[in-house]
Amino acid sequence: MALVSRQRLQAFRWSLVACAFLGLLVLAQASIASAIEPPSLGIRAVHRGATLIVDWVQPAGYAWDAGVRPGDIVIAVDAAVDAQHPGVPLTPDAVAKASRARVRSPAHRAGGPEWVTVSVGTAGASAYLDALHRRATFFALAACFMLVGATIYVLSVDLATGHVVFGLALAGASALVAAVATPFRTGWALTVEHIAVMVFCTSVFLLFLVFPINRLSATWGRVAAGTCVGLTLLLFGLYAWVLAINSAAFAWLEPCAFALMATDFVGAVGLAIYALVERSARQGEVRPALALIVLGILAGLAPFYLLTIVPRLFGHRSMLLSPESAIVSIVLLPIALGAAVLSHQFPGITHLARRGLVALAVWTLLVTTYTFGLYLLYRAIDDGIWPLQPTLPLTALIVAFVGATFTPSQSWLRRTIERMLFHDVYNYAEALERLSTEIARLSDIEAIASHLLGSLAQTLDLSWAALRVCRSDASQLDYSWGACPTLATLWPAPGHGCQPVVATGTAAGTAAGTAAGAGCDAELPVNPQCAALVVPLVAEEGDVGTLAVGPKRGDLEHLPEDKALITTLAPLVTTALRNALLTQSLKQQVATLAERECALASLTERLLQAHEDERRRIALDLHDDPLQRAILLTREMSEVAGSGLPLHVHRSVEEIAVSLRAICTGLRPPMLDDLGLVAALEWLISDISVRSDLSASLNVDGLEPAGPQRVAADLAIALYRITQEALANCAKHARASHVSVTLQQDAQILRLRVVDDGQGLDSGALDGERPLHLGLLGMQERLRPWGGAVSVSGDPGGGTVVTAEVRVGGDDE
Amino acid sequence: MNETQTQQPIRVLIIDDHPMVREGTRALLDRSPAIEVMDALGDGSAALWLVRRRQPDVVLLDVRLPDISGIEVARRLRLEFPSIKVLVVTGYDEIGYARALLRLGVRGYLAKSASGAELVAAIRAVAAGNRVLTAEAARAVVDDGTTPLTAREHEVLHRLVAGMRNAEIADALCLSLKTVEFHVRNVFQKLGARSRAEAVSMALQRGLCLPGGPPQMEA
Repeated sequence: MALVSRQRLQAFRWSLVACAFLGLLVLAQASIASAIEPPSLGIRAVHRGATLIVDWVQPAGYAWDAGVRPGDIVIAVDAAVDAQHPGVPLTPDAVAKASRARVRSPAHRAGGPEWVTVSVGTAGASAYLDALHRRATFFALAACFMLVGATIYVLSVDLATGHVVFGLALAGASALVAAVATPFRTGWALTVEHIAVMVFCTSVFLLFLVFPINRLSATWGRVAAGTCVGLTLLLFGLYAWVLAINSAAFAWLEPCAFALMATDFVGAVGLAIYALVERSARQGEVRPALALIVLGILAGLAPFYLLTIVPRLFGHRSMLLSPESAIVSIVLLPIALGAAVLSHQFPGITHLARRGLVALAVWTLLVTTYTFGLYLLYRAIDDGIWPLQPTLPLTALIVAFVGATFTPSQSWLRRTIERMLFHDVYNYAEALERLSTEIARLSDIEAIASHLLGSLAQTLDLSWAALRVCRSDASQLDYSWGACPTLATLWPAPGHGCQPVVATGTAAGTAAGTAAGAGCDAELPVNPQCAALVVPLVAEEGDVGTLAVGPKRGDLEHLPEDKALITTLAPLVTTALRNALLTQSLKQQVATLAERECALASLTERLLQAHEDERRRIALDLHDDPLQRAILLTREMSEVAGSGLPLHVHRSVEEIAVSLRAICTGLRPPMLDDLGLVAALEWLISDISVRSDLSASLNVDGLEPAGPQRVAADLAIALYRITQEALANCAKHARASHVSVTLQQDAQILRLRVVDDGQGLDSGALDGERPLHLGLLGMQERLRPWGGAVSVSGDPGGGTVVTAEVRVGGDDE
Repeated sequence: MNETQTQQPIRVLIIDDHPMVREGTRALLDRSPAIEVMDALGDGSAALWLVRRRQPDVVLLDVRLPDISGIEVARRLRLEFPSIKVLVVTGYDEIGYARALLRLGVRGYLAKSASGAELVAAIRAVAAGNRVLTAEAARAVVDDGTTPLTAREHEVLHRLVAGMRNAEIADALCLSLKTVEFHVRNVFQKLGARSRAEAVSMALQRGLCLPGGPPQMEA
């Protein structure tokens, strides 16, 4: 199963914890039930010749406390101690079950008593409590064990650590409860008790190794954890050795065990203090809240230490505090977490802790309910007999029932309460749907990037997030959110920006086996330099970019759910970004084309203008000199007319003037400048009828013929040239007999129409490189500066209509 | 007219941007005792300035001037000095010009190619308060289609009626195409025709193109 949500995972954990807890309850019931048997002295003896020699003494048992050691000689047991009555046979079995015994040391010590009499309950100021007191204490301690282990297990984002601590806590609590069952009767009772306490101490040390700052990511942290666990396991072996072979070694093993416990405690306190004083900008702001949590946990754990370890360490055999005070741990831990959450100074853990608090509350409620139900069940079955001897099938049935019903009810309760309390609780399905919907709606790269980073960072409570988008031209766009590291750190290989150097998974401080342990983690590459998850966004045709997700605030690790969310979002983001990239490049192409078209248009305009200017200049030059000279010459010749100059010479000179004038007019009709558009069009009309078989007519509407200029000079030229082109086309291609030119001006539109009665246009006449098409293009270019439009229409055989329309301002009216 | 001539010469101002034409005209008019050339200027604004200082009787005005157009000069003269007679002497013989200028109160409209005698006569006529128009100008005002054709125009008309195209006429008469077009236009104007077909039918109607008909000189 690739996807298991955080919530379901936690529910699973809580269920496991609840099952373990209830199993412990049942075990405790069995322990108490069996603990009513009378206690023993805790010695074993073997025959050595005629005498019975003590070969094993229960460490810290009644006999041990009275000074009995292996090698002593048993003189008498039970009734024989007082009466010297030989009726009681002195056998190893009788010694093991004896409640009184007289023992003599083989090496008689000077000044000491010849023998020692030891009996159950007479060990004087022995540190051991009576059965009831002891039971209450051990129950409180077992609950404390479970609570610490369970809290770490459920809250822990580091699965491996959670498993370790939970396993240790469960083992410790089980051992402690099991030890209750056989206080003095069997030899292993005290050993089991000690092992349980050591396990607890080790788990406390491990707790502070991973919380509030995960030291396992550092080498020294791993070394410390390994040393601690290794020493504990070594001591386990030594205890087993003492238990089985040499009970006398308990004399020096006990201080060693207590020393390890004390070291664990001191180490835990040191780690907590180090976390508080560590000069790190990241933790600076959360220090008060962090201190609160650490103090709460220490205060919760202290009673146990004060109860068990410290007195023994100093040789005291009495309690400094009432044993029931261990129950304080159960209260203080949640209080500390709650206070930290309410302080609002610990945003990183707030998210997690308050969910944990809700879970803890729900868990406590459910466990209480189940316990009460269990109690009622026992009462109903076995009418008030206490303690009850539970049967194995019944226990199995109860555990199965709890396992089946705990998860759904706990899940439902948690969801309901969280929904009531926190409106911003991050719901995986909702967050995924919201993010994907929003991202799919956006089409701009920058919008997508900023939205993705912002939403993701807020949802996951990240310290930073960054996105690198690779464009098709190999350039990159970088977007970031929050206190992002430098680009060089983030994308270590500048030449290959889209292929960041990464290490996979475990190397970057995520504990080994994280993914395997959860069974749901997507394996995401990690950038070791900045502890960021690196998600390559790969589309079918290549890399679109890379998403870098920084650590959560408060130095928390990413949850499996977060990784699942990111992994699920990645393809959506990839698609959105790829589309945005395509859109952007298309837009750029369109913009480039428009720019080029604009440049071409202005070039065309300038060319046309230059063309007009040139024609005008040539016309003026011709007019100013050659034409004037020709005219003058004509006049002078007419002065001397009749003086023998041949007539044809005179006429030739006249023709020169005529020709020059015609050329000038053709180049640039002077009346266009002097008399305006209408006069020029009139000339054009007469010109076309002279040059071809066409008869032409001009209709002017709304413009005074030859009146003061009302059409801008440049526009007049444009319209004049359009008419000229249209008339030339008409004469060349249309086979028309009549053409009419209409110039019409109404309020805002100046309209020029050239209509002929020729053969019209065949389909395709305006396509491609055909002259008509080029002519039309030229006409359109003429009007472009004024935003006017030129159209040519006409059916085959129905004549051709050229229409030019240009919007003129109201000022011209 | 003789009285005016003996008593006081007509003071004339020449406005023409072409120095050769200007000086030619001045030399031409200086030979006539009845006319005193006051000055000859090349641009419109200077001429207007001079007119305001020393009011001439007649202004010889060219249409094409370097600064302001002759038409504009004529308009201002009419506004400021309605008594001054303006005689336009121009290379342009388009109908449009004649119409526009006559509307501005110009007293006379003469082609630059007019002979000295024609020019002097025109100045005298204008000074005496009469109007003087060239044949083209007259047609612009009264378009009756009765103006006689020149010899060249007759030749062109003959070939028009024969159905020749402009290019063919140009070849036949050793003229440029532009020149032929010029003549054709004049023929159209004089006949009042708007197309070749009309021109041909009118010419045949009036018997203008009988073979061997003597070319008539312009009045």
